[in-house]
Amino acid sequence: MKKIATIIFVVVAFVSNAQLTPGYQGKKNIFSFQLNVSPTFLHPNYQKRKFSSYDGKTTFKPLLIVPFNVTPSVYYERVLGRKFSLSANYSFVRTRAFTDVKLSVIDPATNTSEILFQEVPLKLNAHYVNASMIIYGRRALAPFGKYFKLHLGYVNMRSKFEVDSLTTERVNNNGLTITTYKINTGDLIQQLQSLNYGLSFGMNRIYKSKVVINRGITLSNIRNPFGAFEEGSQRSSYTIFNRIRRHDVLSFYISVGYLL
Amino acid sequence: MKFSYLLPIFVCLNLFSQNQDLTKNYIPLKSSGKLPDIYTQSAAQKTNNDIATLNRKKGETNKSDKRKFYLESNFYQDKLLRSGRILFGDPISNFVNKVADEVFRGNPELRSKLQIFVVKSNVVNAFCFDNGIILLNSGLIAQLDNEAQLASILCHEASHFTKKHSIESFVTIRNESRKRYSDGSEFDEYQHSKESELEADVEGAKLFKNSNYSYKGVVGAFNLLKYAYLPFDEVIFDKSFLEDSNLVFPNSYFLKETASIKKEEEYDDAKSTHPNIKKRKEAVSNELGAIDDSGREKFLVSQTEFNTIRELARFESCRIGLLYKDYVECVYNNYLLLKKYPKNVFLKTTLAKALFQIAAYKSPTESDYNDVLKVEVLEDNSSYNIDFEYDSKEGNSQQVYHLFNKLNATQSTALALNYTWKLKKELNDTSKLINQLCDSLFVLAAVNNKVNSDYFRKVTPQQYLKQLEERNKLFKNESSDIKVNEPKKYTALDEIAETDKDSKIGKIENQKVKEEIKILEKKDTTLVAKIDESEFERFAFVDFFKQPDFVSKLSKAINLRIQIDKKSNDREGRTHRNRGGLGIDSLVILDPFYVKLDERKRDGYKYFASDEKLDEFGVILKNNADLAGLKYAYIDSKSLKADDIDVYNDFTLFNDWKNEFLYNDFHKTALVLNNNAYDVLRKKYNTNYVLWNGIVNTRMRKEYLAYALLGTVFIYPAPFTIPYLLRKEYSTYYLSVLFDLKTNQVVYYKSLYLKMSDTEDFLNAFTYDVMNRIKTEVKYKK
Repeated sequence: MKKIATIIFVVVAFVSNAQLTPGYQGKKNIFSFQLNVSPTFLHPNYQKRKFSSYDGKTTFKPLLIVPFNVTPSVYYERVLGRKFSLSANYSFVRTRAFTDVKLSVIDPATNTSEILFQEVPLKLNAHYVNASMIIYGRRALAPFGKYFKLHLGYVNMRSKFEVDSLTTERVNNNGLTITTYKINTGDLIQQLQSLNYGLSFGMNRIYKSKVVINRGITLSNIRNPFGAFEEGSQRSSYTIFNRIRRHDVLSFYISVGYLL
Repeated sequence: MKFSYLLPIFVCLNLFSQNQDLTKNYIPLKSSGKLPDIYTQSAAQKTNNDIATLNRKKGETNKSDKRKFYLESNFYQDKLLRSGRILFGDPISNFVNKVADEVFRGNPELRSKLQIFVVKSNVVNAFCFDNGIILLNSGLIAQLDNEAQLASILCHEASHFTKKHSIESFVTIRNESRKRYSDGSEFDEYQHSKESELEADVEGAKLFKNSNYSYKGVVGAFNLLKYAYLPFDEVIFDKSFLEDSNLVFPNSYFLKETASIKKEEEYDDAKSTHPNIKKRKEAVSNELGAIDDSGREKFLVSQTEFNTIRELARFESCRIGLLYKDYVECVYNNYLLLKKYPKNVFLKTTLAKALFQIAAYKSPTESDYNDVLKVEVLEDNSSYNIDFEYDSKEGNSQQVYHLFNKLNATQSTALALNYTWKLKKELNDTSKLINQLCDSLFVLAAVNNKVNSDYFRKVTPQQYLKQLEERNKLFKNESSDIKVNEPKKYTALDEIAETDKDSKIGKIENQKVKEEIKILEKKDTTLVAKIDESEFERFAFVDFFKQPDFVSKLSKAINLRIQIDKKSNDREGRTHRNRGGLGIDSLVILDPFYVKLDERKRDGYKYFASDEKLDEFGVILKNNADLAGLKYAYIDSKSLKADDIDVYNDFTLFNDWKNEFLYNDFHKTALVLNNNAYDVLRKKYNTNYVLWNGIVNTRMRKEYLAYALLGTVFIYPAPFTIPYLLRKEYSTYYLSVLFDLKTNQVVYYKSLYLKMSDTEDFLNAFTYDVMNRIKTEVKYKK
């Protein structure tokens, strides 16, 4: 982390010259609201939206089109040089995933050791805080024009099952219930932290000297979460990570901002 | 009301403010009075009005071509009128208008439709627009012999107006070129133009007949045109004009005989827009029939006034010659005028400037500004070269071209310094410009031409030869063997009644120049011949070495070169200039330009769009200057109002300065010498700086259109090809130059060529950057 901070400090000091940094007509701050749109790039099973209720006989309906995730974020950019600026943004992702849940039991009648609950829906939330270094192109003058952006950030991912409990019943040959197995999923909340990094290409246009329209494309990746996939961790760790990472791989964004 | 009696005094003061004592000095001409209506109306407005009038006319044919004509004609006219080269309300324009009043006295309706202006140009030409605007070049006025000639030319131009030649020719040529494409029929545009000219001659003769001017004016006007390529007078160039007792040109630098002037009237005019003079004379002669010249006069307004304005035009030709780099012609014109006005400071100064520019042009370059000056979007004549070619020249001016063709860089520099130093002393060191010129010439000699202190001899040629004799014992006096080339003497031929014997044409026609040959001072040219011919300039400063300030300046210049050689160059200074951060508070924003082109079309100039965007760009410049905290004066030719005559004159002044600077694309020591723009800038606008901006935006042709279409058919490349097909391709060139008129330097320069559209945010971003860099002061660490 120290190395990264040092590199950023040196780059900022090198490329910025406050005296001759024009900004846009002297304005050097942008506050904006951004929408990231990303195709899910998920296994077909995830491309399912509807289910009646979790009763062991889930009916999933495949989507007709490739689904897109839409993520809102708030964004701040500060121009520091003629072709250089730093930005920070906060994004919030809310999505869904499906995971299998195993219940380990000892059933004397059948000698089975576990019961599998398949495709249990999870509510996923992720909070991103990113810092970016933006380098504007030859035809640009920060904050106007085309740019290349590198970002590095912190991601906090959280999962919660959509149902509070999972139940299944064992019945005998006569159809009578022998045993009821139940898992309280309501308490199974999992949190993961990780770093994400990526790059973007985009373009800022400025209207009426105040309104900034920013659009571009981002390629991003999330590092393996801290402490995830360790022994004893649940299967949902992988699901959360995988779902969020895929959410981030490629996204298109557009933002509307105000120039100050 | 009580001050109303002062009004006539002010009017008189205004009228006489441009009266000049040419024996002492000449003050360049200025426009005065209210700006004519044509300046306060935009080209777009004029075009729209013309097109609306055209649309209202029923039964009018070729409306599309006529609309095109109005578009091109109005915008071209507007560009010319706003070029800063037009004069009005000055003595010459006033006189020309008086002559027009006189010649069209019997036709007041026609007179009321004509507006006559003078263009500051040395080209002998006049032209007429379809809306009755007649432009006469000052070069034409300078060549006139009498009012009647001027009247004849005005009648000819007015006939172009009455016969609507310009619009008729435009429509005919477009129609014929379409026919040529469809059926391959031949159309001779030159022939068509010649027919129009002959018709204008004939119609002009009819108009002239109604005036009281002598018919000699008609013949005289044709003769004037015949010799229009020559200077305004024809006088043998006196070798001693630029010499002194020690600076003597070798005889080989002078032609024994100059090329005789061709008098042919029946030349081949197949590829000419005008018929040859013989045909024109015949056509007019047929129209006029038997001539009775009794009661007709060559001068009706005033001969004295005519002579005055012609002299003014001739003085102006010296100034224009400098502006458009006709330095050699400028030297000859100065020579002609100095014979008449030997004490005129303007002429002497102009001559010094011309000599300096020639020396600077010939000297090796050490240019910092090549990038700035090779801007191709400037006007057509930005790539002018100085003409030293003498083979094609005729008459006495050929001698001057030959002389400057022969002189090398060091000789030219020595000649310029010799003349300028003497002028400096004559003016008692009071002329700032001449002092600056001298300093620059020292630098030119020492730095650019690498002349050392011992290069120039401190003894006269005679003393030097004696030294040689003593040293080598080889000297033999063979001076008697070497003959001085006497100028050729001419004999008189026939005289013609209608030309003044003392006029240029009279002299040419009569070959009567023999009396003008001065017996040259009997200098010991044999000595110069004895010494090496190519080293005559080494004696140029023998007398000057007795003056301590001359010696001191020369040694300083040589030391400067030694320092430069050591450092190789002053990089620090250049870095500062290019990076901006100048800390300038106020400036003049001068006449920006905006050109919108469409590469996909044959007539790719977008007139209306360019006009509109220029207005927007003006607002952007002003806004961003305000935002950057700059104090500025915005001077352009487009937003002038009727009372803005002072602004117009300032605009003209700064524009001339800028053009001269940009045409001097050869040397960083090339000073802008032609006007007192700096003084006006300092006094009136309290700044040294002029900012000039411009944009050229082009809608590009898609280079890979065929590939993109093909790619779209094959589906897979479609995500890439469809956006390419939908996207409009533009390129934008952004130019911004900040001149320091005090130091004659470009202090800030930005040139961008970007493949993008000229959106408002793009213009704002880069314009503010320019303004910010000018305004902000940055202290650089050494």
